[in-house]
Amino acid sequence: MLCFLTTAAFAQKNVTGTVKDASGNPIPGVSILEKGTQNGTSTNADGKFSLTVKEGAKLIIRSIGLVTQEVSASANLTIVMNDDSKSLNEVIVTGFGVKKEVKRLSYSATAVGGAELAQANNSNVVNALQGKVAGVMINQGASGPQSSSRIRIRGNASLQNNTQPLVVYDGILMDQGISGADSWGDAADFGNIMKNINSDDIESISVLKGAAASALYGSKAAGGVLLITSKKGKTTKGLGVTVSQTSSFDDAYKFVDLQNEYGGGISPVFAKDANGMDVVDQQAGYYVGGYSFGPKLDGRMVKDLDGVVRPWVANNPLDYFNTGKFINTNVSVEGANENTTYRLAYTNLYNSSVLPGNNLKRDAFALRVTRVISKAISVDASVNYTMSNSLNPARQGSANNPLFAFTYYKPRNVDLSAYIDNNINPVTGGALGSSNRNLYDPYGIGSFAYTLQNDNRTQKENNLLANIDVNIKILPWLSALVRTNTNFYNIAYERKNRGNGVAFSGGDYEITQNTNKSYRIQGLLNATKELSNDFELNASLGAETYQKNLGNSAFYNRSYTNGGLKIPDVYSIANSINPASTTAYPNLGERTDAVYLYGDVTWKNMLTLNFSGRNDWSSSLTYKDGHGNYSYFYPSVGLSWIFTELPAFKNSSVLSFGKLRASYSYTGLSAQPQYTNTAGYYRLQDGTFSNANGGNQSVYGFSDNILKNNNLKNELTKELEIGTNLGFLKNRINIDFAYYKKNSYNQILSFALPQESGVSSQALNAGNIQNQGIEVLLTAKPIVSKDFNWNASVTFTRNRNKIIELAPGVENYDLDLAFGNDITSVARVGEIYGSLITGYGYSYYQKKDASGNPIASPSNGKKVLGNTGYGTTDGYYTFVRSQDYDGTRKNLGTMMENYLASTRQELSYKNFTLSFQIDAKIGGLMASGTHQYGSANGSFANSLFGRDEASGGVTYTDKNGVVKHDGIIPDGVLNDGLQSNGVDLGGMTYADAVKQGLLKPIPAYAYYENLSQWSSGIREYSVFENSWVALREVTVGYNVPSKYLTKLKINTLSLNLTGRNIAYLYKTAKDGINPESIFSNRAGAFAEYGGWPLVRSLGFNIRASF
Amino acid sequence: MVSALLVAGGCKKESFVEANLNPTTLYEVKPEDQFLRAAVGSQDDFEYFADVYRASNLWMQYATLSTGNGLNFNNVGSQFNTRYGKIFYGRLGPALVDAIKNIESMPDADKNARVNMKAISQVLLSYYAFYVSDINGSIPYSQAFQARYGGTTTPAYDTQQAVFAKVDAELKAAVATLKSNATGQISLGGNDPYFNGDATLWAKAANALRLKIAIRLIKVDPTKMKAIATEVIADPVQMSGVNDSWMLKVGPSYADGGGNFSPANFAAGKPVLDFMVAKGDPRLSAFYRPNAAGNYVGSFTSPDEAKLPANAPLYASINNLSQLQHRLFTPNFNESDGLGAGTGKGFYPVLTYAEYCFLRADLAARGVTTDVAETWYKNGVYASVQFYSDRAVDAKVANFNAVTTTAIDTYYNKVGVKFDATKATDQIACQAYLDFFRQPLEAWAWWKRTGFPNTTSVLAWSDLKANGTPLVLARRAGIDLLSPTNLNYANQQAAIAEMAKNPDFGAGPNDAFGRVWWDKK
Repeated sequence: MLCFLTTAAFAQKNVTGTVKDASGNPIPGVSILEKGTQNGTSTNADGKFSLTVKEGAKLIIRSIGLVTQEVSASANLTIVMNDDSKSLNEVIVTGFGVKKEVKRLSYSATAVGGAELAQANNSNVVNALQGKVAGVMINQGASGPQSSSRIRIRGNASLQNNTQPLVVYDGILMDQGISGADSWGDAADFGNIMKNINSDDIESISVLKGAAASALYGSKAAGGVLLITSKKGKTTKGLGVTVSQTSSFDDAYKFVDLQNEYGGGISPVFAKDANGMDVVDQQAGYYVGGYSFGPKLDGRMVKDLDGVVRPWVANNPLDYFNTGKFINTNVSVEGANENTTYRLAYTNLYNSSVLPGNNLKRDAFALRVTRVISKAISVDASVNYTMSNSLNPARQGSANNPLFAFTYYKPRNVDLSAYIDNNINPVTGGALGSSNRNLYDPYGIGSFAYTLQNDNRTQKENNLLANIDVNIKILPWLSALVRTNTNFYNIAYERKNRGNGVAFSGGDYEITQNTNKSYRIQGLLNATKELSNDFELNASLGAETYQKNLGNSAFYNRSYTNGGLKIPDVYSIANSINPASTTAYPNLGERTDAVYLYGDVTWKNMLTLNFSGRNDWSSSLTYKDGHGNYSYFYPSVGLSWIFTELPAFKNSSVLSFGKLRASYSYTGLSAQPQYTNTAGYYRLQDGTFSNANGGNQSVYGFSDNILKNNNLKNELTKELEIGTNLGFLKNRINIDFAYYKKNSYNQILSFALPQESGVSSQALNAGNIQNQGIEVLLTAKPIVSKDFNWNASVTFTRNRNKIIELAPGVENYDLDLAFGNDITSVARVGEIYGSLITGYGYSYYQKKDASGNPIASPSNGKKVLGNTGYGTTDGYYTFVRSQDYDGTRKNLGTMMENYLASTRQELSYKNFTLSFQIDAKIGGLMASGTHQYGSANGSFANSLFGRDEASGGVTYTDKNGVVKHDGIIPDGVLNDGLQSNGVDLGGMTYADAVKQGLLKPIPAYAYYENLSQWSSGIREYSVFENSWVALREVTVGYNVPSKYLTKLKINTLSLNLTGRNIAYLYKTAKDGINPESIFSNRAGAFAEYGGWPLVRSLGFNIRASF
Repeated sequence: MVSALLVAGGCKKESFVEANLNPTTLYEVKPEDQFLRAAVGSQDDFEYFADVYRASNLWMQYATLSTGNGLNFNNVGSQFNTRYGKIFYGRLGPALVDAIKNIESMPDADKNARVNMKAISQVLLSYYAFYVSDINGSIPYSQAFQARYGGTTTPAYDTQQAVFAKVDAELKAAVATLKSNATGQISLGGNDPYFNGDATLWAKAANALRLKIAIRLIKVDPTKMKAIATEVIADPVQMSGVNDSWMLKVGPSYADGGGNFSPANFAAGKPVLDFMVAKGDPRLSAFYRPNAAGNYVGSFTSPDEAKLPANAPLYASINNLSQLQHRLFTPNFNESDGLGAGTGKGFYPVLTYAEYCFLRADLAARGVTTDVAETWYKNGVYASVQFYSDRAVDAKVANFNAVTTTAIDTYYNKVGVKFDATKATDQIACQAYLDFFRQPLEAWAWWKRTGFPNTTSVLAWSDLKANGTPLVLARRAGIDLLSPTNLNYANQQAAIAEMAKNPDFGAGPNDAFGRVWWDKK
């Protein structure tokens, strides 16, 4: 391979020099490179350098934030570098793992600096990216600081449930898993590996959006790449010690929109006890009705359901929440000289959320050392070790979630703290409701609180990232890189659930260990050669192997008790009443090998051609008998043209920089590991069979209902990107515009087969998913002066994630669910990704003749009222679900947003800075379980209409002869087939039926409950557009002038005050539902189910270096 | 270096294949494993939730909602018919067909040692095909389950007539095999939670099942019914005692008392409860619990009655009403008696000896056979009481004592229980109805076939009314139309068109008030 290389002798000479800034201070760490080669060095602490170059060479002088210069090599150079007035000359770490000048790229790439990330005061670095990069959509997690956020770059290229970008940390590939709840019930979201990333150790994150940029990472990068570069040691004036401390506080400032006018029960007046005391209606009780349609909350003293006399007032659920704390302390020591840089950092985080009992603790160690060992060899090694400990994330999808618990069948008068603070049954032990619950825990709040305090779940994670790069200079224009790295990730989960039954019976204990190990070894040959005066070539040839969990090296192991604990409060697996269960298996192994070639040719510093080609061999596409299309190739090509280098533009005073770029690229994507050898075979079934002889039998059977496919091949994404970068008025205004069209083919999708055939699906390579959009980044410096500066940026993103084609004959592909399976997000041919389909929408009347043909009628098109499958509250008619009326499954629209936009403004005056960020999402539906079920019993403000005469209630006489004023006449017509006293009601409006005395008005409590309760509710009622404009971040900073610091031996001291998630300036989510509380980071998830209150944070950061 | 890497890894496919093997995947299982899988999967908590507790149990007036029945409780919920997709096509069918295919593909020696195993697997498959077709009419059967074996992914539908005929032929063949005393047989043993692999008991059960299917034909094809009944009864292999009853026998936690199997919060139906109290039925405390005050109080089954203002106090709390006896359904139910979760055994009847007796009694009373109706009726009553007594003891129902023969004698001699030739079919059906307490879906079938119970039968139901309008009961499953994109859409359309030729099929496929082929007016 190296045989074609020859060494040529050139005349050599030594050059020395000093690099200074505009004020004459030496600048350390500036890169000095012999043009057209990889021969280079960097300046030392005094800004000096020395380099041996060939005769007549030119030097390229570069440093981030400063204007790059090119000078002829000569002795005793003095180079003055100026601040870069704009970013077009900046370098960025690209998909190829090397720094590139942005201006030469033929695709869009954006970097976000570590300081900006740390400023967000958020334990999840993904959240800190929100609104900072065009084309990137972030959904914050809704379960506390440990929960994972969903990040989506340029739409969903795949229909699989994980479409998140690959994370590459110092060359180490990390899988960003999916986590969170589903639509079926209770789950605590412990998040994914991202919680172990510490933003204090990050130099920058490059967001690689397109396939062109992700070609190097192949299979895993079809969703884009977050390329994280850790901090490297720098020369400092003092000791090199930096201390940074942040204290930020979270405030739950807004709950859902509750009504505060009416208390529990369904009668507007109190009954009285023998002493004439007002008594709360039994129907207020959770187990009886939980209604909040009772007497007005007027503050009088009443006898509550548990016999305690309390004032009749509304509670404030926000009182339950704590002030969350984010206490982060980072200490780092760094230094550098010509041959060595080092940085050692320790960060301690304690982050409690607003939810009592929920917190995340994290200890992060980071070490990065670079060393020039000899003229030819240098080493760059980094180690990150993080230990995190998460306790009790908020639970989603059940009454264990506080938002759910305080609204669902909970009247407004409940004295929350009375039950939360005393949640153990005084007589029988266990949860307050363990016995005689209608007396001790009539509202179920005690049992909720008991669970939150006694069902403790902890997850401890250990994450090791280690990387060593060895750089070898072989020739002046040729070098080699050998990179070896590993990610070792261990999760230890423990659940101690104290029994909530009588005498603390019941209970659970569970321990789970889950380990993943991956290795990556990469070899690269890098050539940099000036082919002639006009042509410059960079090219790399590489190979790598990535291996994860190979040879049963990493296990999943879960053990848990069944049927309760024999002895309460003894947490051991052996204490299980029924036989304990164990699930254990090696984690899925996978291996990807690859060879690749990539590089660029630049002509006259103006025209750059980028190219890449990669071939993967993926274990996931092999079959057990040895066959399989496991090798696949994908290339990319791109062109960047800096047309302002043309003489015609040289003296333009308006257009100072202009570039056109275009690229076309392919990315391959493999199958899920081991899928080809698992689907359609057999396995031990979950659980055991409890047989009549008292034994527990193992049950074996099919692993699934999948028909094997023996010919799976890789998925393929093709992406065209066209863009431009324009700089105006000496680059005071810059525009980066990108248009892209990305189509993903041969998706490995599971398609439904008629289940009567004995299988229900088969995975096929099929489909064409298109993402087409534009991204705009506008940056400007409206004011530049000595003391006062103003930087502004605006991003705008529009992406259309369209389903062009699925498999032949297949029109729908299910993505995710809400309300059990009442609403499905679906990829539907011809529509945008994530159409929400439901049979639980309103139905609209169509009159039919005797033979079933539709006929004209004034009733047509009106909402249909009638019976439901599982019955309605007190038998009153309600809105008929569309599937029960005529089998219709309605398409409510897409969950995907229309636009994203953001702006960030930074103002500085002398040593003061002020910055703020506003970001917006416009369009896209969400579904809310909290809204649906919380609305059912009168606790939401949306149920105020019709309760009494004043609020629009109709007066009627009920079946007991009592005159009532809480009548509601629903707007709709009655279903065909309904009769009252023998009169046919079909097509008659409810109002007419009331007028004719055939039906009574519906009492408000029954109307609202039937509208949205589990058994009869219209789910469409709780699906709504979710647009918002958020004031995301405001930061005020002050850099203490050095004149005050020198006596204190402090080099720099900065103070920052940051407000985060401050307010929604606009939002469309109904009735106070949190617009950013989706329960999972699965790609198709569109529902909240309990969620999280609106929380804002205010934090203070102090940072000093010595 | 690059080439070294390539040599080290890139080209060795074996290591890639090895990385892609999942050690928890099994590449083969035994036919007996698939039998157990099918048996365990033959019951489903969702069937109990949707089909039993919230549908047939209410329609058959065994129970009501704790607040009384809703105005439309006679409607069929969209989740009804669990047997079709989730159990038969999703679980039980594929497992049994795989067992049979597996046996068929074995070398002769192995195949010959599994003659009985194959026949037993077939009996269970045939039973379930009958059970699914019973309320669905036409279903894919002869071409179903073949995709894994290179067969069609779009199985055509067989008419109910064809399914019943095929099932009868399959059962007949299985009985012949099971009676043949084949030697050297590998027994299903513990993998058969019905009969522990006993071939004779399976032959008895299969014969009884033929009788049960045949009697469905009483209106639509009486000749065939008589032929099958005559043929079956002539066979000496017959059920002869409660221990021959065909049921899935399970341990305490198979049906978890905390899940969807739980019968909690359903009140006893007043008509049946009152009848049992009046006659001193020894099964009463096995079926129902007294209310909190220790009395047996039933709930009105008619929505209008339950809504009467006078009855409001009764429905103020479930504690005022008798409920279903938890442990008869979920033996691990915790009675809060300090003993924790129950440890008894559970059961899921398929075809009990009592039912067999009532089938023979009904056939005799109608003159189809020459049996003595009274004898078989009496056998049925005694067997049913004995059966539920045994089951309640097994399930450790709290405060339940085994029923003595004397107690059954006393019960049998009560007016309305003791055989009365003038009301033979009425009495047989009403006692069968009581026996079907744990098979309300079969009680539904008997009601469709015989019209009993009704408002004037020995055990008289309440007249069901909502807003003054009489409520009628559903007679079949609503058929979910496949999406036009479903590959089997055309086959289903053809099947529906064929069924719709029956004038009683109903207003459309989803009209559960229509009728299937056997349920002739």
